[in-house]
Parts: sequence; C-alpha cells; structure tokens
Amino acid sequence: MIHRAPPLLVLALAALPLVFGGCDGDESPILDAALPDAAPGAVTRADVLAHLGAAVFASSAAEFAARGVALEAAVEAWDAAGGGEGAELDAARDAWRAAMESWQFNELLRAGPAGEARSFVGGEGLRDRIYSWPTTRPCGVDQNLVAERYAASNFFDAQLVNVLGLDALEYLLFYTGPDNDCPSQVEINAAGTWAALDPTELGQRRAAYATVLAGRIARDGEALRAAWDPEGGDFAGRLAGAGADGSPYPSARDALEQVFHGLFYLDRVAKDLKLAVPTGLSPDCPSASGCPGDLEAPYAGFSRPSLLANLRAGRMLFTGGDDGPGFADLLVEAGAADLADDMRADFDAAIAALEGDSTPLDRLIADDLDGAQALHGHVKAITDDLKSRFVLVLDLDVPASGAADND
Amino acid sequence: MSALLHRAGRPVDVASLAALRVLYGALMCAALVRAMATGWVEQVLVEPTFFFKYAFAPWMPVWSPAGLYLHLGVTAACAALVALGLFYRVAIVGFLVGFTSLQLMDLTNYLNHYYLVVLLGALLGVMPAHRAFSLDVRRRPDLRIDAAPAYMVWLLRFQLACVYVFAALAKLNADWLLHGQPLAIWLASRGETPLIGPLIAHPAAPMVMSWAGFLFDATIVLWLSWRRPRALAWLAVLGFHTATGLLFDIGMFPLIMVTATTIFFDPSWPRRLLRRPPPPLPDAAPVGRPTPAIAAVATLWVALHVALPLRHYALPGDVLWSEAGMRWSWKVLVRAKDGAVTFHVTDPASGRRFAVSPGRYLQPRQESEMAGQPDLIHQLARHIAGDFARRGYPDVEVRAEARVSLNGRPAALLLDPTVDLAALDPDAIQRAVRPMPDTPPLSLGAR
Repeated sequence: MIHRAPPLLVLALAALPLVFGGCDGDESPILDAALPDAAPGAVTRADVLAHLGAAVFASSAAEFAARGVALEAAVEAWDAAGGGEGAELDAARDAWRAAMESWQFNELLRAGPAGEARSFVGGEGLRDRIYSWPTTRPCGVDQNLVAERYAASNFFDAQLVNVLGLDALEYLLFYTGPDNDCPSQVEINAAGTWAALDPTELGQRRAAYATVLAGRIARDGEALRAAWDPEGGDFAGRLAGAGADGSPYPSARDALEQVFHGLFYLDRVAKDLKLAVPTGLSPDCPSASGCPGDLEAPYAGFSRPSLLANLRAGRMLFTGGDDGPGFADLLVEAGAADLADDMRADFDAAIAALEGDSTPLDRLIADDLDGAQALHGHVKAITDDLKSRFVLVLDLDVPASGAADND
Repeated sequence: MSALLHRAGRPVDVASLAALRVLYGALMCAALVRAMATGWVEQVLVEPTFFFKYAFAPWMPVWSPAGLYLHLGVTAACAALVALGLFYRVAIVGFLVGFTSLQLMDLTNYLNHYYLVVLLGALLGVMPAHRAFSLDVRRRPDLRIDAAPAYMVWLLRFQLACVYVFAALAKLNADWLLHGQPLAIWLASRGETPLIGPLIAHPAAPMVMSWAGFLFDATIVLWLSWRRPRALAWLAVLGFHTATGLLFDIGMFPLIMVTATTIFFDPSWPRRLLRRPPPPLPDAAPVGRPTPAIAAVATLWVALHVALPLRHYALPGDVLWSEAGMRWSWKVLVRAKDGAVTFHVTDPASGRRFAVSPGRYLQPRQESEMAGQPDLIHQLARHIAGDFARRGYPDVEVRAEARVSLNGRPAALLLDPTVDLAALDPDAIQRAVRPMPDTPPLSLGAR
C-alpha cells in the first residue's frame, strides 16, 4: 500500500505556489467563498508609522522645543531680576508648567532619539537628560546650590541626570522655603554651610542654577526637534521608511514595536508609579491612607496635568488623532474593531475622569482615597487590554524580550 | 517478541549515529555561544530578581553573572567535545547536566526544542556515537566499531517522530484548521517580509499554511521513513524549517530539526557523502545488544514519551487554555496567548487592600510568559504573599485577576478571581482555572 500511495506532502507543498500563484486577489481556488480580499487602501503598518512619525513625534518634539525656549527666556528673566518671589518667578513657573505639560506628552514618545540607546533604535537618551523622574534628588540640588557647582564649566559632565532636568528645575522654581531636603548628617547641614547662606543669596543662587538648567533643557529640546525634523535628522522619515535602505529599522513591524513600547509607559510608570504608590495600592506605600508625598511633581502640584498629558499622548498614538491612522486602525484591519472601540472608550473614560475634576491629587488622596484609587482603575483598564489582546492581535512583543526564542 | 528483539539487534552502520553526534555537539556549542553573545544571559538570568521553578526542582539556584558565564562556557566546551568525540562520555554528561540545569533555573525559559535537546542528548549519551569519526577513536583505536544495533537508530527516529506527530495532533483543533489561527495573526504582521511578503499577506495564506503545516507534521515521518521519497521529504523538511525559521523567532529549532532528521537516512549516509565505502557489517552488533533489560528500558522510554503528550486528554479543560499537560507535549507554535495579570492582595488584619502589578517582581518577558500559565501565576502569588509577610503583613490573601486572550479572542478571566492563591495548594491550581470562553478566535473574515 505504502509503495503505491502518492507522496501527499510533496503534492501539498508543490501545490502551494500553484494556490498562491494562481490567485490574483479574489481568485483563490479553495477559499474564495470564505475569505474576503485584502481591502484596497487598507491601513498598513507603514501608513501608521508615517503618520505617527510626522504628526505626533515630530510635531510634539517641535512643540516642546518651542516651550523649552520660552522656559529658558522666562527663567533668565527671573534670574536677571535677582531671583526670589515676584512676577518674574510667576512667569517662570507658568513657563515650566507649559514645558512640563508638553514634555509629559512626549514621555510616551520614546522611539528614536528620546529613548535609551540600549532599548530604542536610534536612541540618544535625550529623555533622561530632559526629565529623569522618578529618579530625582532634591538634596543633590541643595548641595549644588551651596557649592555653586552649577557655575562650573564641566557641571553637566560631573553630575547625574537627577539634578539636571525638569524635575530639578521644578524644585528650584517652586520650592522657596529656607530649609533643604538633606538629612541632618549631610555636610551642608552638619557643617552649617546651608544655614550660613543668606536668604537673598539663596534666592539668587536658585535662579542662577535654574537658568543653567533651563538652557540645557532648551538645547536638548531643540536637539530632539532637529532629530525629527524632515529638514534635519528626519527621524520621522526613517521611521516611515522602516525596512527600506536608510532606515535603522529592519521592518515596519520592528519600528511599530518600538513605538508600542512607549505605550508601556502607561503601565509601568503611569499606573504603577504615578498612581498605585501615592494612592496606597502599592506595598511601597506604608500608609493605608496613601502616600501623596510620592506624587510626581510635588512642588508644583502638577501630577494631575502630567497624567492627563500622558493619557492624551497614549490616546493620540492609539487613534492617530483626527487626521491619520494609529494603532486602532490596525486593530480594525486585523478584525478586532471591538477591541479598538473598547480601548478608545477606556482612554476617553480615563481622560474624562482626570479632566472632570481639578482637585490636586494630593488633596484628592487626602479627601477621597477611593476616588483617587478609581483613577488607577481607569488606567488599568487601558493597560489590561494593552498587555493582552492588543499585543496578541497586532503580534507585538513586550519590551525587552528580543533575545528570547519561542516555539 | 523475539523476532522484534532480533531485528532490534541487527547491526547497522554506526556512521549516522556518529554524524548526529557531530552535528548535535556543534549546534549546541554554537547555540550556547550565541546565548552568551546576544545578551540572552543578562536578559533571562541576570536581570530578573524572581525566578519561576519547576515543581520537581525548586532548589535549582541561579548563579552570579560570572558563574552563569562560566556555566555556559563549560557547557559549550562540553558540547564542542561531544562534536569532536573527545572524552565523549564525560563530555555528554557534562553537557546534559549543564544544559538541563540552565533550563531549570527559570521555568519561563521552557521551550519545546530545549526539551528535545535534552532528550536527544540523553539518548546519544548511552549510545556508542563516539566510536567512529571521533578523536576518542584516534586516541584509542580499540574503541572503533563499524556497527551499532538498529534499535539505537530507531529510538532516535522515534524521538523525532514524537515531535512531528504530536505537533500534528496539537493542530487538530478548530482554531488551527477552521480559523487559521494563530497563523493568521502572525502572518498579518509579516506581510512585508522580502520576497514572500505578498504571499503571506494574501488572505488565503493562513488557511493554506495551517493545512500545509498540519499535513507536513502529520505525514513527514512517513515520507522520511520511506526510502523512495526520502530525499525529497528531507528537502521538504529543509524548506519547511527554513521558512518557519525566517518567519518566526524560534532560534535554533529549525537547525536542530534539519540536522536531527538526517537520522532517517540510511545509516551509511555519512560514508556515502564522504565517498567512502560502507563497512562490511558483522553478524551481530558489537555493543548494546538488546538484552531484556535494555528492551524493558527502551519500552518504558517509548511509553513515557507517548503518554506525556497525551496526558492532557485525561485532564479537564482545553489544554491551550488551562495549560494542564501543555509542557513536554510538542504543542509547537499552536497558540497565541497574552494576558494582563493584577494581584489583588488583602490584609485581613487591617482590611487594607493592594493592587500589585507583576512588573514589580518580573521582567516584561517573564510577565508575558506567566500571564497565560496558571501554575506560574500561582507561584508568583505565593511569592507575593511571602514578600508581604516580610513587610509586616503576615497573612495576606492573594487573588489574581488574569485577563487572557487566546488566539485573538476577547480577553477573559483565566482564573477564578475569588480564590485565595496564597492559601491554595500548588497541586490544586487547576481547580481555580475558569472554563475556556466559548467565543471564536479572531476571525479571518473580519480582516
């Protein structure tokens, strides 16, 4: 029997090119009754990358660069006025809020120059230079004030990022108290050098330090803008051309995965750090009534606007905005329109929850802990879908899984 | 029975065993060097702070980074010695111990082809694969033999047949054969692959390739075992595994299968390749004649490796959902499964509740692997309970909200979210598994 049986496998494999080769569009000889054609004009990964690169990444970098320049000017004006309280400080604070809001949008846009080189193709680590939270060190800022290290020519080379970015600048602009953030045993307290500072001198030094930081933030913002600008580094073009010559991405799938990894910020940072810890849902908070001291941007009271900007960025990446495709369109293309609708609704609900109440989060945690914890639930609804059906349907890998095999 | 034993003891050229030894050792050496060179060690064994353990080896430690590199280096050296056939018995034991212990360090690293490596190594380790084409023979010419008993080749063929046949059996389900899933999901993201991109982006591709894959797995052993189409069948093996290797991140698996299936060739194939005449075979194999004891062990081996992949039929639930009976079953690339898990921890003493993300303890890759596997979720739940005890909450309850999507279905709860996993015996985790959702997988027709 065996000797007379046709080699079915060989026939099956030989038939593959015939099946494919004989099919133009809707002429599949075996499946045309069950399967539709690939829709003409269907949204592709390349379409999404082209749109997000130009309309989201490049334009957001340009907006931050502009706000960085405005921040630098405002802080310089405050410095020129001798520091301390006054209209110049208020203007500098407003400029910081504007820059910070823009940067919080950029927090999710990690693909390309903003990301770390070891995790992102084309990464230059600009993100950490501009904003290092949750790695912050107000005590280090105070130590630099006493030693006037910010005036040294090698200041940026000699310091860690936790005393150089928007977070350090926040401390300098919004904390005007006479004391410092260091324990008593630290030298500036133990040796009395902090206590010896005249309050006026302290104000001047804060303004001078802030000016140095604002200048660097503006330069880094400009570097990021130039890297994305079609007239400059044109990273948007390289993102759009993934898989082609001149692009650092081997394929559109790889490039899309890098964009997607930015969305993971909503899970690891927005949900787990910005909300779970301050609202007492994390064991890192020892108090059952929450840990508002662990909120982001505590001196400026800017945690709610920061979260809002994060979610708006997430929604923008997801939907592509009003004038182009995003991840949601790929979900629809893949047959998961229901998931696209659910996630869009989850984004809208989370954004509405933050927009609908202007109570600072520290106050909300103190007055209505359940309400604050509900915000965690809103973000979790998004990230639950993100980590389950979203990654599965779009066949994306979670961050840092590149060296592992499957079978 | 005696006729079977007689046939099993029939001498065959030892050359194909020796060739498999050479290929196996070289491939494993390359795989381990690759693991050290590509960051696998750091990512998989250095960066994590928590490791999932096999129930039978909870004691397996994870060395320091220097220790890990030493471990891999020594194991790779053993693999090279295996390929060279130098100090073979010691080398293959060293390789097997090194490779197996590496797998035992973290359960999320389980891969079917790593399991196959261990099984093939164990079989080769008891065979005289070093007694031809080896430095051991050059060192000690008295070791040289030209023939080995046929059952040795049979056992290796059986082991490879298990992979294909049970992989085919695993594909015998509606998702694979009627919905083209999960291939449809995977192929959709690879439509721009050079040359074959337009083919795999065709709407018919998932169904055609699902059926082709099923037919390949179901019949390839037959074609490889049959002399006339064997060469063509092996070319099909080469084509099939090359294609899957190019399309999917499956590491060394294609190379392992392509090289290991050479055992289906006539045992003298290496000599023919080297244009050497096959040796005259003795009347009886000089070593390893199938005594009743050897026959009993071989029978047990075969029975075990037939029973293991079938055991899920005796367990409740769908194996792709519950994972009961999933490991060591050759269910290769048959399901796409991702999930999001949140551990809800309650301290009964204070009434305080926590929402704990796995990311607190796991690397993203580990979290992704854990999310669809109930026993791993349970392991982490118990670890979380221990961590909370150290933080001053000695008797917390830990419940898992595990939302899992299988082959593109809407995410559903994998575990009963009311079950306190901290108090649940590890053997009882399947009782907490909820039924598989009766929704269909992601629909091709909706693309």
